[in-house]
Amino acid sequence: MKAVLVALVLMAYAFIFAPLLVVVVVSLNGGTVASFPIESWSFRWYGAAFANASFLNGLWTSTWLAVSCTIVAMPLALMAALALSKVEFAGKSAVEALLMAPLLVPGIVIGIALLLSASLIEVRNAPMRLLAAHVLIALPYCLRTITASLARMDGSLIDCAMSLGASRWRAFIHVTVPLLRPGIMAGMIFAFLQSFGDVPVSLFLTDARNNTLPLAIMAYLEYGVDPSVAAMSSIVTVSSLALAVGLERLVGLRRAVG
Amino acid sequence: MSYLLIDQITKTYGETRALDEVCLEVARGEFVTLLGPSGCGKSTTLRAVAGLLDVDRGVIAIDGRDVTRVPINDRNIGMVFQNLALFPHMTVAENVAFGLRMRNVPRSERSRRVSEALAMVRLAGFDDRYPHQLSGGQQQRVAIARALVINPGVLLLDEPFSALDRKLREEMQIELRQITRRVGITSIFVTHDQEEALTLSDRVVVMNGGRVEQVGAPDAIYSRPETAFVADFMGARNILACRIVRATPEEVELDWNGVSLAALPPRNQWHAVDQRVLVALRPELVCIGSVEGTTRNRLAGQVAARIDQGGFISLIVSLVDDPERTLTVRQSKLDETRNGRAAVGDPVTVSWSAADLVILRDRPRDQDRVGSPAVN
Repeated sequence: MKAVLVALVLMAYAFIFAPLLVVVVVSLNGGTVASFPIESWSFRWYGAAFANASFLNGLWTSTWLAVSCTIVAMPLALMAALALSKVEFAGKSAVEALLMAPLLVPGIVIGIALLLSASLIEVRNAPMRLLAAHVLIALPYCLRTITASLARMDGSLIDCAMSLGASRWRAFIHVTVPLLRPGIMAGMIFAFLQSFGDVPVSLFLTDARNNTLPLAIMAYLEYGVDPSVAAMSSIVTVSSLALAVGLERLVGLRRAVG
Repeated sequence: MSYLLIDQITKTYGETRALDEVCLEVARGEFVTLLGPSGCGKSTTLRAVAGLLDVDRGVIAIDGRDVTRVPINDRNIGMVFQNLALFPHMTVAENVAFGLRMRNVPRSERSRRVSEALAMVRLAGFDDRYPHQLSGGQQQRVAIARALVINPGVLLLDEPFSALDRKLREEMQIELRQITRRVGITSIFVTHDQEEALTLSDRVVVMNGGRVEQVGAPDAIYSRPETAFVADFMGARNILACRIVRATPEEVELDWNGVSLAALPPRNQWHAVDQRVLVALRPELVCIGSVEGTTRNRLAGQVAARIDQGGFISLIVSLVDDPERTLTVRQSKLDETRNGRAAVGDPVTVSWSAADLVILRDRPRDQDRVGSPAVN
C-alpha cells in the first residue's frame, strides 16, 4: 500500500518537473537544433539568448511590470480583504465576487475588453495599460492569500492591543501586519508570477517598444525553434524557483499557502 | 466614594436587552465577580467597562473620571481575555512590554518593569519564549502580567480560567488572588462558575437576563439569596411556594400547601399575612432525622431516589402526605455513616431549622420570568 502511494507521488512529481527538466537539458545543447538526446554540452544558447534584443527588452518589460504590479496590487488587496472581513455592508458578497471575477473570466476576454475600454477612454500608453491589466489579474490571488491569513487571525488580539493602549493604526502595524505577513508574502509571489507569465491579457495591450518576455518568446517561435528559447525559459524557471525558495526561507511560504 | 461606578447602563441589540439598567459600585482595591449563566449580561458589562462596546444609556466612571465615551485605548484598563489573546508573534517579554511600548515608556524603564512583572507571576527567565512554548498556566500568568504591568486603573478578567482543568484552575485562582491583593488593584472578574466566584471575590454580583439580581459578599449570596434565580443558581434546590399564615418579629409561620413551616423573619422585608412568597432551602441543610431543639419543620417522607455524587449523596424525598411534592436532601458521607444509609423506598423523617428557610424577594407569580427555576 505504502509503495503504491510512494509511486503515485513520484509520478506526480515527474509529471510536474520532467518537462521543466527537459527545457533545461535542451538549453545546454551544443547543437543548432533543439534535439534530444544531447550530443554535446554548451552554454552557447545562453549567450545567444542574451544577444537577442527582443528577449532582453521583454525581460526588462516583464520584470518592471511584475514588480510594479505586485507593489500596486498588494496594498489594494490588503485593504479590500480587511474591509471584507471587518465591515458589514450591503452588497458585500457582490463586491467579493467582483474582486474574484478575473479568475473566472478567460484572459483573452479580459485582454480584448481592456483594449476596447482603454481606447475608449483614450489611454494609449502601453505601460499604463499593461500595469492596470496585470493588477486586475493579480488582485484575486493577493486577496485570497490575505483572506486566508485573516480568517486564521484571532480578532480579540486587536481588542487586546487596543486595551493595552494601542491606537487603531498602531494595533494594525504591530499586530495585524506581522500576523498577515505570510499571506501577504504568498500573495506577492503569486502576483509577481501571474504578471510575469501572462500571455492572453498582455497580447492585446503591448506595443512595439513594450513587449513582455512571454510574448517575445512566442513571437520568436513563429520563425523557428532554437535552443535560445529554452535558455531564456531556463533562466526564468530557475529565477522563479529561487524567488519562491528564498521567500520560503525568509517567511515560511508553506505556512501561508497551506 | 466608589472607585468604579456603573450607573444604569443599558445596551439593546435589536429586540433583546443585553444590559438592562445595570448598576454597580466597586471600591478601590475590591475584587468583584460578575456571576451568571451564559447570556446573562456579565461579559457584556465587562466589555462595556473595557470600552469594547458602547452602551446606549448610562454612565461608567473610573476614579471619578467619566469614561463612558472614552475609547478603549484611553481608559487605562488591564484586560485578560477569555482566550488570553497573547500575541503569537511576540516573545513573552515583548508581549508584556507591549502596553509600555504603546505608552512610549523609555526602553530601560520598560525592561525593568517587564522583569518585575514577570517575576511577580513567577515567570522570571521566560522572557525569550514564545507563547506556544508555554503551558496553559504559564500563558495565563503572561496574560496577567501583561495586563498589570501598565498599572491600570481596573483589572478586567473575562472567564480567563474556563479552559483550564480543575486542579490548575484552583491553583490559578489562588495565585490571581494573591497577586491582586499584593498590587491592591481593583478587579472585575467574570465567570459562570459559582465555586470560582465564591472562592475569589470580596463581593459577588449575580446577573440574569441583563439585570443585576443580587450583590453581596460570597457568604450572603450563598446562604441568604434574595431571589429564586439566585437561590437556584447557587444550588438551593428546594424552592417552595408558600403562604404567610402568621408573622411576628420572632418567627414567620408559613403554609406550604397544607404543611406548616416556620422561618425567621427576613431583614429589610415586610410581609403581610396571606401574602404568597417563595422560600429557598439548601439541600445540605436538610437533616435526615430530627434537628435538635426544634419540633417545627419536620416532615415524614419516603426516599424516591438516591444519587451518589462522589463527595456526597443526593436523596429525593417525597412527602408521605403528598407524594407529588419532593425535597432534595444532600448528605455527606459522614452523615450517612452516622444516620445509616437510606435506600430507595425507605421511610425517613426530614427536618431543618427555621433559620435555614430563606424567604425570597420575588413572588410566586413571577415564575414566568426567563430562567426561572422549578418550584414545588
